[in-house]
Amino acid sequence: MLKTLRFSYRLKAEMYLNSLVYFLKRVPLVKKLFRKMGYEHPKLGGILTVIGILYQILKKAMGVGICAFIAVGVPLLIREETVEINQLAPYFLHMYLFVYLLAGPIVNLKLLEANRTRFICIKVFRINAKQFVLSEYITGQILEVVLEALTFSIFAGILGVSRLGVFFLVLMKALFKCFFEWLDLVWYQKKSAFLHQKTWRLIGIGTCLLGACYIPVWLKKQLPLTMPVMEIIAAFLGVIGLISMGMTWRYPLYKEAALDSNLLERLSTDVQQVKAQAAFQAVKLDEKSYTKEELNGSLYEDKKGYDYLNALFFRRHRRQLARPVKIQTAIITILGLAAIGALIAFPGLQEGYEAMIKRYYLSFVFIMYVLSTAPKATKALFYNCDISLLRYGFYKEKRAVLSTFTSRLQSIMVANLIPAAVLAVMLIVTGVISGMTLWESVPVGILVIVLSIFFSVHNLFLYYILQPYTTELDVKNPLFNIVNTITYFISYLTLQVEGPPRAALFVILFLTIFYIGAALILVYRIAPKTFRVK
Amino acid sequence: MELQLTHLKKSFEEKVVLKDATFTFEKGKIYGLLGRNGAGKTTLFNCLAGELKADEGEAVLREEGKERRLTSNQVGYVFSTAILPEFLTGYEFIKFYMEVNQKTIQKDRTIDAYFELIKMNEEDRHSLIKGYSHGMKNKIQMLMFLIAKPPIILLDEPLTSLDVVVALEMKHLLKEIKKDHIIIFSTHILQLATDLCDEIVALSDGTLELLDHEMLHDSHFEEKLVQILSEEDVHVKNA
Repeated sequence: MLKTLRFSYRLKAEMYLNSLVYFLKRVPLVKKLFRKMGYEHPKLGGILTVIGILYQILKKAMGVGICAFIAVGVPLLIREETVEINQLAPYFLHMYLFVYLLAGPIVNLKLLEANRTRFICIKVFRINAKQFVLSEYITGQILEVVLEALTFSIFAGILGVSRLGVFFLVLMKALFKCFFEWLDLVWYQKKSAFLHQKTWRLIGIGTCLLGACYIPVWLKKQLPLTMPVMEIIAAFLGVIGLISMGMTWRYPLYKEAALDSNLLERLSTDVQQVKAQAAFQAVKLDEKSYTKEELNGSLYEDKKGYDYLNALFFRRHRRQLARPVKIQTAIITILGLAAIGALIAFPGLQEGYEAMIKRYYLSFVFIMYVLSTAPKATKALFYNCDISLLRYGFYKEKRAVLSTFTSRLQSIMVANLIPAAVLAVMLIVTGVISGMTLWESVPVGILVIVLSIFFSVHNLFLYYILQPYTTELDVKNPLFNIVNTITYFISYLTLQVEGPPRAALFVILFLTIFYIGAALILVYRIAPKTFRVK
Repeated sequence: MELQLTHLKKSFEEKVVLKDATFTFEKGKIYGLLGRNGAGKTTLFNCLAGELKADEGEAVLREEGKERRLTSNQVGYVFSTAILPEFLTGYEFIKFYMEVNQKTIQKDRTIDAYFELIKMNEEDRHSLIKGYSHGMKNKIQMLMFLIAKPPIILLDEPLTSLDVVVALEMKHLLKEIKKDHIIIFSTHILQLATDLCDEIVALSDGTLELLDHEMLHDSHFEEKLVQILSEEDVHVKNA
């Protein structure tokens, strides 16, 4: 069993080290230093095992610490404002009971979970499944008990609870967990399915237990628990765990269960794939919704070249791209009409509304940034059009790039202008009702429209200059993320700025016109080199 | 018309893929580019098509005594997996393609006449590319080059995954158009290369080598070719 463990830790360390080397080889500035570094580390055999173990301990320690801080520490800190520190012990015990003793063992099943090391060791290297699974599980649990005991002994010290008592609770929790692990094994034996993969059921149970935990804490109606009572509950659960542990040890189908839970498709449908699927879902083309007339070639006969391509693209994706525009327009109309009704029905609100618009009109920078549908359009453009056409030389020529840019900019601008125009009208009307003059309210409306144009240009421009998407629709370009974060931050900052709307309008209008001009020049000059599939 | 490659070099970090690729390809011939997996066939094609920049060396097109550096719009690159915009029908895509390339193409046929050429029926040409089979997508790709007639056509294992009927149609098509083009056909299927190509060029150890024409009909051709392509291993081991 020790040999198996050593092998698994060494493998994990090797995998971690290689992914680190791979990453460093791609970081700008640093990559030159690592260019010559290979992926074989023959001299590091023993050291690798130690690195592997240390890495696992560190990772686990951070996990345990952060989890304890969020689940128990933060609620205690909030409670501490109204309750004396020496009276917090029942809150602590209440939360420990629900989160750690009950929810934790159910939600966090580990024995049969799928992971890459297991797949390699059991399926590829054919290591004894029972030995491998149990040795990994037992060491993992011992480590967890030590780390949790250390973490909660800090809590115990602060709250004046017995440290030995806390250690006992941690130990019993680890034992009780065996009951659910055994349940998972039996579930597989009876139903050929895994309990730990019933994500929604587990989330449901977990949510109920967390609700039972935090709602009473919030209402200051926690269970009146004392350490002796908790120890009795924990001991009872621990005995159940101990019996399950024996049955877990004698379980006959480890090999089958380990092979079935570590299917390659499960490993590859991990986070990345789910992310990619989710992203594609939003931009996929619905083939069934087209009639023969739609496809007989007579559509947009008057349009030529890139305009023709663009017209067909937006027509065939209208369902995906027009939907957010329709929803936004509907919401703005309903809210606007409600505001008009409220301002007429309750004239007392008018003064406050006028002051609010005058003070916070710049928040529309942030609002229009959020409302822009251009990011969705650029994703659809990439995945359903550019990813294929960028393979061909003619599509990357300067004129072609500029032509698709201007043509798309028009379509995206129009889409964004529809909700923006409705919002502008609503703002002008509500402004006038509240007592603003047209001279005061019209600039706010125009500001909204200019901002909508600004963000249409901004998003499409970034797409052409940085082309951030990979074939998985993941954002790859770090510069794109940085620029986006800065845009978000600046938009957010404008929430705090005060000043007359007319001045802001002129500044933003000037910026937008300048941006459009600069974007056209830069797209013509730079995009033929940057606008490609990465 | 000739395509002259002179001392093309391309490395990825420490790995030298093209060491010194020097060769002259002539119009009217189909060249079979043979090489083992990872020999650098796709890298060479990417360098010629402008997808990658060669570290050293150059590719020039020589025509009627004039020389000019090869540019991407003189190259038609047929990918092993055809990648086309799926929201268009085949007809719409070819219409778009003809319009954006109208300055460089001869308008000697209508769109429908082009589809007749590749034997694609009316219903299929008005269906979304999304629903096309691999072979149909490949036909559309080929059609693009029948229309644009680029002097150089690079085919990266295009027939490997096609059914026998489409593969045969494609072979006939390539033989029909070869008189006006330089066609370079990468494959590692020996039978296909000897069957279709006029010349066989081996890409081994980062260099290009024309195989003796007589050798193609030699009964020991396979053994000799394997020996040439295996020399790379010997070089690597000796290095």
